[in-house]
Amino acid sequence: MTGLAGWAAGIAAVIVAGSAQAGTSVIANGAAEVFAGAGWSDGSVDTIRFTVPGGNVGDGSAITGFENGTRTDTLIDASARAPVNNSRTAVWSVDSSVPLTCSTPATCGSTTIPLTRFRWTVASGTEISSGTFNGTASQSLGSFRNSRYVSVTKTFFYLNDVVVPAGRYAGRVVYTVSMP
Amino acid sequence: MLAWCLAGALVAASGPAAALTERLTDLAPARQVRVDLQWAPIQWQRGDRDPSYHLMSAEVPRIEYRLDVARYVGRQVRVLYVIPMDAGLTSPLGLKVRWKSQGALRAGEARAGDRVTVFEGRVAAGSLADVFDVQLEVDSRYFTGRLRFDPYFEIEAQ
Repeated sequence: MTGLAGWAAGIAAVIVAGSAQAGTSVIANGAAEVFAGAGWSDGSVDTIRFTVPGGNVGDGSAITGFENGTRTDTLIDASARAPVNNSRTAVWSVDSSVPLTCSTPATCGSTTIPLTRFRWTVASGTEISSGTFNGTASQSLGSFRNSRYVSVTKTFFYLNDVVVPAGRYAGRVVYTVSMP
Repeated sequence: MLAWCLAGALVAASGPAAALTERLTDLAPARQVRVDLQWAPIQWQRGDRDPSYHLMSAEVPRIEYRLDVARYVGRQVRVLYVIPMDAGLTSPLGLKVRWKSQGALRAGEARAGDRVTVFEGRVAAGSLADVFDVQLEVDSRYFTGRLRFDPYFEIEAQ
Protein backbone atom coordinates (compact mmCIF):
# COMPACT_ATOMS: atom_id res chain seq x y z
CA MET A 1 0.00 0.00 0.00
CA THR A 2 1.04 3.57 -0.39
CA GLY A 3 -0.01 6.81 1.23
CA LEU A 4 -0.52 10.14 -0.46
CA ALA A 5 0.28 13.46 1.12
CA GLY A 6 -0.69 17.01 0.23
CA TRP A 7 1.44 20.09 0.59
CA ALA A 8 0.64 23.76 0.70
CA ALA A 9 2.59 26.96 1.24
CA GLY A 10 1.31 29.83 3.36
CA ILE A 11 1.79 33.57 3.12
CA ALA A 12 3.28 36.03 5.53
CA ALA A 13 2.04 39.43 6.58
CA VAL A 14 4.18 42.47 7.22
CA ILE A 15 2.96 45.83 8.40
CA VAL A 16 5.34 48.76 8.45
CA ALA A 17 4.42 52.24 9.58
CA GLY A 18 6.13 55.35 8.30
CA SER A 19 5.36 58.98 7.60
CA ALA A 20 3.93 60.65 4.54
CA GLN A 21 1.71 63.42 3.30
CA ALA A 22 -1.45 64.60 5.00
CA GLY A 23 -4.00 61.91 5.75
CA THR A 24 -3.43 58.21 5.81
CA SER A 25 -2.41 56.38 2.69
CA VAL A 26 -2.17 52.62 2.45
CA ILE A 27 0.10 50.67 0.14
CA ALA A 28 -1.12 47.13 -0.38
CA ASN A 29 0.32 44.17 -2.23
CA GLY A 30 0.17 40.42 -1.82
CA ALA A 31 2.09 37.18 -1.95
CA ALA A 32 1.27 34.03 -3.87
CA GLU A 33 -0.41 31.00 -2.39
CA VAL A 34 -0.23 27.47 -3.74
CA PHE A 35 -2.03 24.29 -2.79
CA ALA A 36 -1.60 20.66 -3.70
CA GLY A 37 -3.93 17.95 -2.55
CA ALA A 38 -4.13 14.18 -2.88
CA GLY A 39 -7.12 12.17 -1.78
CA TRP A 40 -10.68 13.07 -0.98
CA SER A 41 -10.07 13.87 2.69
CA ASP A 42 -8.88 17.28 3.78
CA GLY A 43 -6.25 17.54 6.45
CA SER A 44 -5.21 13.91 6.50
CA VAL A 45 -2.97 11.56 4.56
CA ASP A 46 -5.14 9.27 2.49
CA THR A 47 -4.16 5.63 1.98
CA ILE A 48 -4.37 3.62 -1.21
CA ARG A 49 -4.44 -0.08 -0.44
CA PHE A 50 -3.42 -2.85 -2.87
CA THR A 51 -4.17 -6.42 -1.90
CA VAL A 52 -2.44 -9.16 -3.90
CA PRO A 53 -4.14 -12.58 -3.68
CA GLY A 54 -1.74 -15.29 -2.59
CA GLY A 55 -2.06 -17.16 -5.88
CA ASN A 56 -1.23 -14.11 -7.98
CA VAL A 57 1.97 -12.83 -6.43
CA GLY A 58 4.28 -11.63 -9.17
CA ASP A 59 2.18 -12.98 -12.04
CA GLY A 60 1.84 -9.62 -13.78
CA SER A 61 -1.86 -9.18 -13.10
CA ALA A 62 -2.25 -5.52 -12.19
CA ILE A 63 -3.78 -4.92 -8.79
CA THR A 64 -6.17 -1.97 -8.45
CA GLY A 65 -5.75 0.30 -5.45
CA PHE A 66 -8.61 1.37 -3.21
CA GLU A 67 -8.47 4.73 -1.46
CA ASN A 68 -9.16 4.22 2.22
CA GLY A 69 -10.35 0.76 1.24
CA THR A 70 -13.47 1.95 -0.56
CA ARG A 71 -13.06 3.72 -3.91
CA THR A 72 -10.76 3.33 -6.89
CA ASP A 73 -10.72 6.98 -8.01
CA THR A 74 -8.51 9.36 -6.06
CA LEU A 75 -8.71 13.14 -6.32
CA ILE A 76 -5.43 14.86 -7.18
CA ASP A 77 -5.89 18.63 -7.18
CA ALA A 78 -3.89 21.84 -7.16
CA SER A 79 -4.29 25.57 -7.13
CA ALA A 80 -2.05 28.59 -7.49
CA ARG A 81 -3.23 32.04 -6.47
CA ALA A 82 -1.11 35.05 -7.34
CA PRO A 83 -2.02 38.70 -6.88
CA VAL A 84 -1.98 39.37 -10.59
CA ASN A 85 -4.35 37.15 -12.51
CA ASN A 86 -2.87 34.76 -15.09
CA SER A 87 0.64 36.16 -14.67
CA ARG A 88 2.68 33.14 -13.54
CA THR A 89 3.07 29.44 -14.22
CA ALA A 90 2.70 26.82 -11.53
CA VAL A 91 4.53 23.49 -11.77
CA TRP A 92 2.98 20.29 -10.48
CA SER A 93 5.23 17.39 -9.49
CA VAL A 94 5.35 14.24 -7.43
CA ASP A 95 8.07 12.68 -5.28
CA SER A 96 8.20 8.89 -5.54
CA SER A 97 11.85 8.50 -4.59
CA VAL A 98 11.37 6.51 -1.39
CA PRO A 99 10.38 2.87 -1.97
CA LEU A 100 7.80 0.97 0.02
CA THR A 101 9.38 -0.79 2.97
CA CYS A 102 8.37 -3.97 4.71
CA SER A 103 6.36 -3.37 7.86
CA THR A 104 6.06 -7.07 8.80
CA PRO A 105 9.74 -8.03 9.13
CA ALA A 106 8.94 -11.56 10.24
CA THR A 107 7.85 -12.39 6.71
CA CYS A 108 9.39 -9.82 4.38
CA GLY A 109 12.48 -8.69 6.30
CA SER A 110 14.14 -5.68 4.68
CA THR A 111 12.59 -6.11 1.25
CA THR A 112 11.52 -2.92 -0.49
CA ILE A 113 9.29 -2.27 -3.47
CA PRO A 114 10.19 0.73 -5.63
CA LEU A 115 7.36 3.05 -6.51
CA THR A 116 8.25 2.52 -10.15
CA ARG A 117 6.13 -0.63 -9.80
CA PHE A 118 3.01 1.56 -9.59
CA ARG A 119 1.15 3.35 -12.38
CA TRP A 120 -2.04 5.32 -12.72
CA THR A 121 -4.78 6.02 -15.20
CA VAL A 122 -6.75 9.24 -15.30
CA ALA A 123 -10.51 8.81 -15.00
CA SER A 124 -11.46 12.49 -15.26
CA GLY A 125 -9.61 15.72 -15.90
CA THR A 126 -7.01 16.63 -18.50
CA GLU A 127 -4.27 18.33 -16.53
CA ILE A 128 -2.32 15.14 -15.86
CA SER A 129 -1.84 12.23 -18.24
CA SER A 130 -1.80 8.57 -17.35
CA GLY A 131 1.65 7.41 -16.34
CA THR A 132 3.98 5.54 -14.04
CA PHE A 133 5.94 6.82 -11.06
CA ASN A 134 9.56 7.25 -12.13
CA GLY A 135 11.14 6.91 -8.69
CA THR A 136 12.59 10.42 -8.58
CA ALA A 137 12.09 13.24 -6.10
CA SER A 138 10.54 15.59 -8.63
CA GLN A 139 8.65 13.92 -11.44
CA SER A 140 6.92 16.62 -13.45
CA LEU A 141 3.21 16.07 -13.94
CA GLY A 142 2.39 19.27 -15.77
CA SER A 143 2.04 23.00 -15.39
CA PHE A 144 -0.75 25.53 -15.40
CA ARG A 145 -1.25 29.28 -15.24
CA ASN A 146 -2.06 30.85 -11.90
CA SER A 147 -5.50 31.86 -10.63
CA ARG A 148 -6.81 28.44 -11.51
CA TYR A 149 -7.82 25.34 -9.64
CA VAL A 150 -7.04 22.11 -11.48
CA SER A 151 -7.92 18.54 -10.65
CA VAL A 152 -7.94 15.01 -11.98
CA THR A 153 -9.07 11.70 -10.55
CA LYS A 154 -6.58 8.87 -10.76
CA THR A 155 -6.86 5.14 -10.37
CA PHE A 156 -3.64 3.55 -9.12
CA PHE A 157 -2.34 0.10 -10.00
CA TYR A 158 0.41 -2.10 -8.61
CA LEU A 159 2.13 -3.79 -11.55
CA ASN A 160 2.66 -7.04 -9.58
CA ASP A 161 5.30 -8.24 -12.01
CA VAL A 162 7.96 -9.17 -9.47
CA VAL A 163 7.74 -11.86 -6.80
CA VAL A 164 8.25 -10.40 -3.35
CA PRO A 165 8.01 -12.08 0.06
CA ALA A 166 4.56 -12.13 1.62
CA GLY A 167 3.89 -9.30 4.05
CA ARG A 168 2.74 -5.73 4.38
CA TYR A 169 4.62 -2.93 2.64
CA ALA A 170 4.06 0.80 3.11
CA GLY A 171 5.32 3.97 1.50
CA ARG A 172 4.34 7.46 0.51
CA VAL A 173 4.29 9.72 -2.50
CA VAL A 174 4.10 13.49 -2.12
CA TYR A 175 2.47 15.84 -4.60
CA THR A 176 3.83 19.39 -4.78
CA VAL A 177 2.92 22.60 -6.53
CA SER A 178 5.48 25.36 -6.88
CA MET A 179 5.22 28.71 -8.60
CA PRO A 180 8.64 30.21 -9.41
CA MET B 1 -47.90 79.24 -26.42
CA LEU B 2 -44.50 80.58 -27.41
CA ALA B 3 -44.53 83.13 -24.54
CA TRP B 4 -45.39 80.42 -22.01
CA CYS B 5 -42.40 78.36 -23.09
CA LEU B 6 -39.99 81.27 -22.70
CA ALA B 7 -41.28 82.02 -19.20
CA GLY B 8 -40.72 78.41 -18.20
CA ALA B 9 -37.12 78.52 -19.36
CA LEU B 10 -36.43 81.70 -17.37
CA VAL B 11 -37.79 80.15 -14.18
CA ALA B 12 -35.55 77.10 -14.59
CA ALA B 13 -32.45 79.22 -15.13
CA SER B 14 -33.04 81.22 -11.97
CA GLY B 15 -33.67 78.14 -9.72
CA PRO B 16 -31.62 77.12 -6.62
CA ALA B 17 -27.86 77.50 -6.99
CA ALA B 18 -25.83 74.26 -7.39
CA ALA B 19 -24.08 73.03 -4.25
CA LEU B 20 -20.41 73.98 -3.99
CA THR B 21 -18.05 71.03 -3.72
CA GLU B 22 -14.68 71.40 -2.06
CA ARG B 23 -12.00 69.00 -0.92
CA LEU B 24 -11.57 69.05 2.85
CA THR B 25 -8.27 69.33 4.68
CA ASP B 26 -7.55 66.52 7.10
CA LEU B 27 -5.85 67.85 10.22
CA ALA B 28 -5.07 64.43 11.69
CA PRO B 29 -1.39 63.39 11.85
CA ALA B 30 -0.14 62.10 8.53
CA ARG B 31 1.00 58.52 8.21
CA GLN B 32 1.59 55.82 5.67
CA VAL B 33 0.79 52.18 6.23
CA ARG B 34 2.04 49.23 4.21
CA VAL B 35 -0.01 46.05 4.30
CA ASP B 36 0.20 42.66 2.68
CA LEU B 37 -3.06 41.41 1.31
CA GLN B 38 -4.12 38.01 2.60
CA TRP B 39 -5.96 35.50 0.47
CA ALA B 40 -9.56 34.92 1.41
CA PRO B 41 -10.20 31.48 2.87
CA ILE B 42 -11.94 29.15 0.46
CA GLN B 43 -13.26 25.63 0.31
CA TRP B 44 -10.44 24.01 -1.65
CA GLN B 45 -12.57 21.42 -3.33
CA ARG B 46 -14.74 24.15 -4.82
CA GLY B 47 -11.55 25.58 -6.27
CA ASP B 48 -11.95 28.61 -8.50
CA ARG B 49 -15.73 28.15 -8.37
CA ASP B 50 -15.61 29.48 -4.83
CA PRO B 51 -16.79 33.13 -4.94
CA SER B 52 -13.82 34.15 -2.82
CA TYR B 53 -11.17 32.39 -4.91
CA HIS B 54 -9.79 35.60 -6.45
CA LEU B 55 -10.20 37.80 -3.38
CA MET B 56 -7.53 39.16 -1.07
CA SER B 57 -8.09 41.45 1.87
CA ALA B 58 -6.31 43.56 4.43
CA GLU B 59 -7.43 45.26 7.61
CA VAL B 60 -6.29 48.81 8.27
CA PRO B 61 -7.40 49.67 11.78
CA ARG B 62 -7.75 53.07 13.39
CA ILE B 63 -7.39 55.55 10.60
CA GLU B 64 -7.94 58.88 12.29
CA TYR B 65 -9.67 61.74 10.49
CA ARG B 66 -10.03 65.32 11.73
CA LEU B 67 -11.69 67.31 8.99
CA ASP B 68 -11.39 71.07 8.93
CA VAL B 69 -14.94 72.37 8.48
CA ALA B 70 -14.48 75.69 10.31
CA ARG B 71 -15.64 77.65 7.29
CA TYR B 72 -18.94 75.79 7.29
CA VAL B 73 -20.04 76.15 10.93
CA GLY B 74 -23.78 76.70 11.07
CA ARG B 75 -24.32 75.65 7.46
CA GLN B 76 -26.14 72.66 6.06
CA VAL B 77 -23.60 70.38 4.36
CA ARG B 78 -23.00 66.95 2.96
CA VAL B 79 -19.60 65.28 3.48
CA LEU B 80 -18.49 62.58 1.07
CA TYR B 81 -15.81 59.90 1.42
CA VAL B 82 -14.03 59.65 -1.91
CA ILE B 83 -12.25 56.44 -2.96
CA PRO B 84 -10.04 57.32 -5.94
CA MET B 85 -9.58 54.87 -8.77
CA ASP B 86 -5.93 53.85 -8.41
CA ALA B 87 -3.50 52.93 -11.18
CA GLY B 88 -3.04 49.57 -9.46
CA LEU B 89 -6.52 48.58 -10.53
CA THR B 90 -7.80 47.80 -14.00
CA SER B 91 -11.45 48.15 -13.02
CA PRO B 92 -13.49 49.62 -10.16
CA LEU B 93 -14.44 46.00 -9.48
CA GLY B 94 -10.90 45.48 -8.26
CA LEU B 95 -11.40 47.21 -4.91
CA LYS B 96 -14.17 47.16 -2.36
CA VAL B 97 -13.70 49.20 0.81
CA ARG B 98 -15.70 48.69 3.99
CA TRP B 99 -15.30 50.93 6.99
CA LYS B 100 -16.65 51.14 10.50
CA SER B 101 -16.80 54.49 12.24
CA GLN B 102 -16.84 55.53 15.84
CA GLY B 103 -17.83 59.20 15.77
CA ALA B 104 -19.66 61.73 13.66
CA LEU B 105 -19.30 59.96 10.33
CA ARG B 106 -21.30 57.06 8.94
CA ALA B 107 -20.02 53.55 8.34
CA GLY B 108 -20.33 52.22 4.82
CA GLU B 109 -18.81 50.52 1.84
CA ALA B 110 -17.71 51.61 -1.61
CA ARG B 111 -15.83 50.59 -4.69
CA ALA B 112 -12.95 52.42 -6.31
CA GLY B 113 -14.18 55.61 -7.91
CA ASP B 114 -17.17 55.99 -5.59
CA ARG B 115 -18.14 59.04 -3.52
CA VAL B 116 -20.19 58.03 -0.50
CA THR B 117 -22.04 60.36 1.86
CA VAL B 118 -20.77 59.97 5.42
CA PHE B 119 -22.30 63.09 6.98
CA GLU B 120 -25.35 65.15 6.24
CA GLY B 121 -26.53 67.98 8.46
CA ARG B 122 -25.64 71.31 10.03
CA VAL B 123 -22.01 71.78 11.02
CA ALA B 124 -21.80 72.44 14.76
CA ALA B 125 -18.04 72.81 15.32
CA GLY B 126 -14.87 73.62 13.47
CA SER B 127 -13.83 70.02 12.91
CA LEU B 128 -15.48 66.70 12.16
CA ALA B 129 -13.53 63.90 13.80
CA ASP B 130 -13.76 60.15 13.57
CA VAL B 131 -11.69 56.97 13.54
CA PHE B 132 -12.27 54.42 10.79
CA ASP B 133 -11.49 50.72 10.85
CA VAL B 134 -11.05 49.92 7.17
CA GLN B 135 -11.11 46.63 5.32
CA LEU B 136 -9.76 46.52 1.79
CA GLU B 137 -10.93 43.71 -0.45
CA VAL B 138 -9.05 43.32 -3.71
CA ASP B 139 -10.08 41.13 -6.63
CA SER B 140 -6.93 39.74 -8.26
CA ARG B 141 -8.61 39.68 -11.66
CA TYR B 142 -8.48 43.48 -11.69
CA PHE B 143 -5.24 44.08 -9.81
CA THR B 144 -1.78 44.88 -11.13
CA GLY B 145 0.03 43.83 -7.97
CA ARG B 146 0.32 47.06 -6.00
CA LEU B 147 -2.39 49.39 -4.79
CA ARG B 148 -2.27 52.83 -3.27
CA PHE B 149 -5.35 53.53 -1.17
CA ASP B 150 -5.51 57.26 -0.59
CA PRO B 151 -9.08 58.34 0.18
CA TYR B 152 -10.12 61.89 0.96
CA PHE B 153 -13.23 63.87 1.86
CA GLU B 154 -15.29 66.42 -0.03
CA ILE B 155 -17.93 68.77 1.28
CA GLU B 156 -20.98 70.08 -0.47
CA ALA B 157 -22.59 73.19 1.05
CA GLN B 158 -25.86 74.79 0.05
